[in-house]
Amino acid sequence: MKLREQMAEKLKLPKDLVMGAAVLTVTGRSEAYVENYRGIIEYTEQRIRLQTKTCQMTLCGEGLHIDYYTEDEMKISGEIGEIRYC
Amino acid sequence: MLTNLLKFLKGYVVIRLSGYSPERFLNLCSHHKIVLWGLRSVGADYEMCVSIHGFLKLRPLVRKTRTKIVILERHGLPFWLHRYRSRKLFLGGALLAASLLYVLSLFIWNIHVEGNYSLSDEVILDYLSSEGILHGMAKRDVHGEEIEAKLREHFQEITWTSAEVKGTRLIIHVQENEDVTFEEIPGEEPADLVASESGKIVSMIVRSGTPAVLEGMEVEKGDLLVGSRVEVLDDAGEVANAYYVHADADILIQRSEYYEASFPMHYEKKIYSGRKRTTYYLTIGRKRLDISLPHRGSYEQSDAITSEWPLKITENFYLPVVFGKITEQEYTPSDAVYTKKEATAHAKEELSLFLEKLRIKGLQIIENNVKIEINSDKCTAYGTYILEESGVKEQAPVMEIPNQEEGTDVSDSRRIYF
Repeated sequence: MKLREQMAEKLKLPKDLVMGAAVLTVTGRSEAYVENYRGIIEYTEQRIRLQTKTCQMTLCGEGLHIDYYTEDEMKISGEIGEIRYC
Repeated sequence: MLTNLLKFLKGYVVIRLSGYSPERFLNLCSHHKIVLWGLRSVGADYEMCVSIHGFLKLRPLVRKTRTKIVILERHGLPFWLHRYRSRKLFLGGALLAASLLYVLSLFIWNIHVEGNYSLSDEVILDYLSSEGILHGMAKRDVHGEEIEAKLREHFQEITWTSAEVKGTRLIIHVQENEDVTFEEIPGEEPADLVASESGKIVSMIVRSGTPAVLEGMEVEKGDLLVGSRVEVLDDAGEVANAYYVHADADILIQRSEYYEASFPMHYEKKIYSGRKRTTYYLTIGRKRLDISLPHRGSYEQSDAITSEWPLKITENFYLPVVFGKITEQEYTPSDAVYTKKEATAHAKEELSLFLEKLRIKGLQIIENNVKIEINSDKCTAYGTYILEESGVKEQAPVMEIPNQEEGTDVSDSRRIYF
């Protein structure tokens, strides 16, 4: 793992490609794009839990809503309160 | 926008998902590349949109995850078509209307002539129809250059034409030569000007050529007014050289004409009884169809005024249907005699009509000495009037080409007749 990270660093390759890391883009607190995720574990209006390659990602908030989702990208809208990794 | 259109065309359904592990179902969907959108959690259930194509692939996934799906809404063209499947005729009508519009657009429905001044629309349209250019002809049979060439060939007055198809209109642009009479001899060839009428020359403006007469001179019809031969004199006053030009001049010739007209003082006067009758008719092709009320007796003597309204679509496309109206007014004839005043007025009116006709022809009336005389049974108007008109006519000149070798000897020359 360390080696891959170093390689990516040295070769200036995008880390999401090399390490399969999830990419989270948040616009304000109302919109979030998630790329490179594995699947949905839990989905309620208050909480969306996603599985990524290395860990789980949890978005908490109010009125959370998945606008669309495909195999490798999803758009979440709603009032985002907290983003947590575990 | 585009995605919305695609969604509409392909059709989609809103489904509600409930059961044991909906998250697993969602993950399986994305794994099988079934696109879901508009995902919402409603209590313990989920609502989402899925395309028809995707929906048909859901069954195994539903069984595997032991969930249940219910269709809530249906959207898109496939459902819409299904819903209105019983309105086939409506759709057929719409398609028929569209195809009819297309078919009709393949023909010429209006021929418009523009720029014609001395040639009337009818004359040009008549000629075109004799050449097969008609209202209702197929657009692909219109060959602009051919039409242009034919028009130019047939009408000498037309100097330039352009046929243009605009939608279902054929527009013929025409440029006419304004003075056709001057076309007798082409502009670059030598020409003399001779008098077209006998009379006195009152004004003369010569632009090219050698004047042969002076203002105030009396000329006879056919006299040379402006010669085409222009002579170059040398210091001794002898002709050094001569060349020929196309003579051009405005010459006004004044002449007097005699006018006489008479009519009898006794005439038949119509006394209208005030009874009127209007009948209508319709002509379709060669058949005439009378639309009138049954006649209440017939009139012994009557005036009939017939008005016709030919049915036409667009500007010049007449259909073979004519709507007509005849108004009959009954009268009884009775003998009457003009009073002196009436007779004078009548004679004056006739004269002014006659002079007006001359004026329209481009003649100018300078003086009018017509007197009106009334006998017991006849009213006569007679006298002379003086008019002015442009009285020139072109004529091919008799050319004398001086013998260059012999110098200025004109007598030793050849004559060339054109």
